[in-house]
Amino acid sequence: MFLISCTIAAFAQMLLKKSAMEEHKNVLSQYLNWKVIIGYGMMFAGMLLGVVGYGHGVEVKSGSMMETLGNVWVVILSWLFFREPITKKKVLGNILIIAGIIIFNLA
Amino acid sequence: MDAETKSAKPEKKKLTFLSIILIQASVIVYTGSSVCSKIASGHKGTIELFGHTLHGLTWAGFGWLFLELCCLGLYAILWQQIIKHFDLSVVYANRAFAVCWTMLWSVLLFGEHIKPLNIVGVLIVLVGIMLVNADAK
Repeated sequence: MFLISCTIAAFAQMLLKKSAMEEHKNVLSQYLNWKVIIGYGMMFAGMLLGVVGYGHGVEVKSGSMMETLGNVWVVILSWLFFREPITKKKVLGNILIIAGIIIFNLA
Repeated sequence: MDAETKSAKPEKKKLTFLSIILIQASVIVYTGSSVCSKIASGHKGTIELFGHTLHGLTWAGFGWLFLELCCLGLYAILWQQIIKHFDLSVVYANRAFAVCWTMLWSVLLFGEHIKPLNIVGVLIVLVGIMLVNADAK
């Protein structure tokens, strides 16, 4: 659940960033456009999935750790959608995040 | 980016002890959403709405869900101001501590147990998040 939730949240962030990068006629259209509305809708769906995950007995400490996987997704999706370079630091950082989550769950 | 846009960019503030406290306060608000989410999940049940029975959460559960939304909304407003005034690498490094705050709430509010390997895992993830965001401007 948390894996799906953080994946949805990462995709939502891409939509929000795409919208933020575009020129808008006025302040209202900055917030009321399909990318922002769907982006926040996806974030809300991710939030509901989090509640479902916790409802299945997932501990708060584990849920928040799983959410850090969002950082890994953001790096990958930013490269896919915006061609943001994946630097050595980002690769090492992502490896550490995944390793940290695995070690956390070994406890 | 043209020269005019560059000059319009707000000057980034120096990170002081007070600013760290402010950033961490917004991170704490953010972690409040996980707390609300967990509490909401404990209010499973049904509600009656316009003659229909909806399964999932009780009204109390929806109340906590609403509170979670409020936490995220308040956090979004605070965060927007923070990223305007500080370098993103600094801001994201601070946000990484959300995991630590959530660990604290998990122990204090839900009686969960933190094992040594949990702490090692969190520390490694913290370094990882800081590295990923080190170049953010």
